[in-house]
Amino acid sequence: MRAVPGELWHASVRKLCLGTLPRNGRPSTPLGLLYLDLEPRAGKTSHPALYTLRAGASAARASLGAHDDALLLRHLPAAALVCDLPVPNGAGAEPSTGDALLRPRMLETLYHELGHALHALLARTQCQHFAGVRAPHSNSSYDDL
Amino acid sequence: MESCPDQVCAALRGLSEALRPRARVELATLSATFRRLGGDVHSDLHSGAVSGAGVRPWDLAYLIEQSRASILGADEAELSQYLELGRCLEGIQMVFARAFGLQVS
Repeated sequence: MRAVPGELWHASVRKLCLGTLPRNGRPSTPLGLLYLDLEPRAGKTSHPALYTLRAGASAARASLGAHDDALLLRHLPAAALVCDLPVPNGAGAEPSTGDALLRPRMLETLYHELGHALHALLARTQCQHFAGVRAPHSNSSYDDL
Repeated sequence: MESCPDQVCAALRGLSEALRPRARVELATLSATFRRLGGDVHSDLHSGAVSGAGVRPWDLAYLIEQSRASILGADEAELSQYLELGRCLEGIQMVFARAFGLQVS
């Protein structure tokens, strides 16, 4: 997905849109935005993590006067997946492909964090402070699928 | 989407049942590693171990690491030539599409 000028905090960051698969002629419905910040750089944490940038809570029913769940306004959630994968053409990479080569453990970490990303972007709640992975840690274990 | 505790419990139980056969295979691997390293498979008769394999919950991380090392051999880095980042992201997108009906664009 295209980013607007100033939206990305580094040239290596990729912006993705998670949505439903188009079905029966209906277009994809956007469900959330995911920024991938995967490469190491000076001053960046080396600890892999998923940060919620905007929680996907729906506005409270009372505040909208809505009686139908379909009328609840849901914020389009956004999250940043931060990792410390080897840079393209770094040690061990094939110069011709220009793509990072992952060790098995790094792949596990990446997929683990993507599990958190799904949780953050797909969760449905009206409670801002419990949206997605913003819950007690025991609640965010189920998303490690 | 799960909307009540019963549905969540049913989903978790379903997942547990579906994963059980493969978990048993993995447990057999871990148990073999446990014996190879000199572990006593009968020690679990006295306390709550993971279903008769002698393996205790706190052994899992170490045994997984040791099993992985012996299966993959010394050079795990050898495998990384098959794990291009772009391909790995494509792969997980296929899983998202098939398992959850999601697309990434």
